[in-house]
Amino acid sequence: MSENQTHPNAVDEALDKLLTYTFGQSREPLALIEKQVLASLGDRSKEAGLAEKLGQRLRTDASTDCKNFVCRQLGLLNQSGAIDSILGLLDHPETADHALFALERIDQPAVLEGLQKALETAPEKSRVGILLVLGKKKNPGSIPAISSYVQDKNPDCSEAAIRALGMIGGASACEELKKAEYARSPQIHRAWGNSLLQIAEGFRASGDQPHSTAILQPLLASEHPFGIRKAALLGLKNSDKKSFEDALAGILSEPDGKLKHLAQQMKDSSD
Amino acid sequence: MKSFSLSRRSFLKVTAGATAASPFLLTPSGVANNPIPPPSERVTLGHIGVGGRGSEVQKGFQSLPAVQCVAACDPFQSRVIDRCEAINRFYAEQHSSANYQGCAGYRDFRDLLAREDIDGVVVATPDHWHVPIAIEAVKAGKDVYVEKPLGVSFEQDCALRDVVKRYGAVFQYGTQQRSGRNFRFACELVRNGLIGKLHTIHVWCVSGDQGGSMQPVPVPEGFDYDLWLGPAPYAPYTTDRCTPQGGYWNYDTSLGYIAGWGVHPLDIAQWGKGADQTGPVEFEGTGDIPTDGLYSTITSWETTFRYGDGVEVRYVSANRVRPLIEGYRGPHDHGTTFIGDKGWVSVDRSHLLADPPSLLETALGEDAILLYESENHCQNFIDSIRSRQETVSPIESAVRVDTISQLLNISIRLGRKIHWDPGAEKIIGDPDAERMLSRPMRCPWTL
Repeated sequence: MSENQTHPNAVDEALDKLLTYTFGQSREPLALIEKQVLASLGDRSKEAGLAEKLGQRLRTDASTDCKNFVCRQLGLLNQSGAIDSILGLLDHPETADHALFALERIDQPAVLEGLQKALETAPEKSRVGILLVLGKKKNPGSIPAISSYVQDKNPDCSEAAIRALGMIGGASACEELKKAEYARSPQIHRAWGNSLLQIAEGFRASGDQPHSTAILQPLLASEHPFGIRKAALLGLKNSDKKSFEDALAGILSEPDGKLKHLAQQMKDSSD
Repeated sequence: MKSFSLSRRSFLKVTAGATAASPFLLTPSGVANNPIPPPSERVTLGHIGVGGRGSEVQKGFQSLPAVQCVAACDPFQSRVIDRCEAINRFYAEQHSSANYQGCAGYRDFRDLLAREDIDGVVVATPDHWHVPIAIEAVKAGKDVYVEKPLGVSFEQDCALRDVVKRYGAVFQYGTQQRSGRNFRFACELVRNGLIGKLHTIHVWCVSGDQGGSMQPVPVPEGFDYDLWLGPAPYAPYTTDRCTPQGGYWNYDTSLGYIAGWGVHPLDIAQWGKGADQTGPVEFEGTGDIPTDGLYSTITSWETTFRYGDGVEVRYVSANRVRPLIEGYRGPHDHGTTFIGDKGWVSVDRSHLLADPPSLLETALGEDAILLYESENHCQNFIDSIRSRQETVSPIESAVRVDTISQLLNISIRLGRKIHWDPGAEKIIGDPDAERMLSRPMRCPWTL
């Protein structure tokens, strides 16, 4: 055994100590386990062995800090074995954040299915996180589950659903966003606009300029905040010259304001 | 508006100027009768994060005549009060108006961003907040000056780049060495081939440290700890967690000095190499990571990375630099040296050295490659807000240099070489390392 290798017994001892770990105690057992986790990455057999040992800790009455630490390591190990145990932690506020950290990183089909189901039963705070993680996974199959929260009475859920749809993108997500009550708050309004802008970018990147323009043009309306209107104008500039010039003319005929000032600069620089 | 629980008197003191005004107009009490630049020439700024570094940056902006600092924000109540009072005092003296109260104080950055009369935002928070706040600022239509380092993950860096481009925001990165004449000149010497063919770059910076109390203690009154943590995992408050060192050296909130300090000399390496739109192709190194105490970022390191054209960069922490540079220059706690087949040039904040020394007398002609000239990093940001032109430290170069620290951090933690495709911006053949390019954020915060 080389100087840099860790004796197997030392790892098992650290795993035992982990069961009762609480913040404030020595971090050395955790550092040792994390070192083993990182060193195992790329060796599927070692990864699975460590994931199994760590996952067992979630099925005990181990300390909350232990379970949270285990979740972060399982996120790195990307194994499917402990997914059900992790999903179970979503019901508890003290473990839900770390459970989501793990589930966001674990790239296994069972996570997607589990999160979609958990949406129905999880506490509201966890639901916000679940919606965001589903968005980050960018699977269009999650759109129906996410969409039912776009109009949720909890503004945090509504905003999370709106953001998630923007991350996933595509025509279905766009249609769902059009139903949103975007003016509920300035924050939701910005999130909604950004999601549509993201989707328009996706269409443009795939060469579908008409769909991109169809999303961007309504975002120029004066009811929308400056940021959204500015981004919509730039989006048109990058994708649809004719629509951009029309939009520019319209904005230049508006009363003085930040967007008009910007439009004038754009016009001057293109003349 | 959310506010601290201040006494009525002090609350009024920090919020009297919070009245929203028309774009490019500023109408707080005490301003109207004073000789200040006309509204069309003034840029209004909000400062998010007004601790030690944030206050220094704020003072830099305050000294510019075309700027009006109108808001200060921090989860530490005392910092907000102190900064607002200092700003109000400054403008009161400048405009001979004893009752100037034009700077408003905020605890929550979202309240500051809701103000439509603020043109630009300066983000000088702890590292883990840089990108999330900058993204929300850009979405709110603001231009942004962001202290370094950029994000705590590569994913964060890319997300900020996406929104900066989407919203057409002016972005200035806090790599202020680009606004220093010596740094620019050193890079111009390299770019114009005056050291011959570049083959090696030495980069070094201040080391990190271990320690930090792990003993949970009550959160001080007047401090919104949950907001300070924001997207970082929840952890009990300790006396060392929210200090500058605690913010810089805890892996939950930072990558440590390998990114936060290292970005300065690395940025000059990228600039001189002409790599602002690309990056190296492989990374490897070793480093020390504390196994106990609060601090958990890499404290000292010795790394190598290479560009596709074969140029090799040795990047080490200052405590390991002596063997690298003692053959050609004296010690300093940071610096960048470019070595070519006809000479070298080395630059830090105190020295500009070269071999042959005559290189430093070089007069670059009109046909030479001349780099973006900025003499004042803050002024450059303001000028760019007005002209809508790119700053000296734009988002693309910021992302590219930050990527180097991100990949070295992953390489050291995994203990293996990372191969990188700078065109596709992907790690090659290592899905486990690829997964470490992102970091989950605590709900409800997201990118």
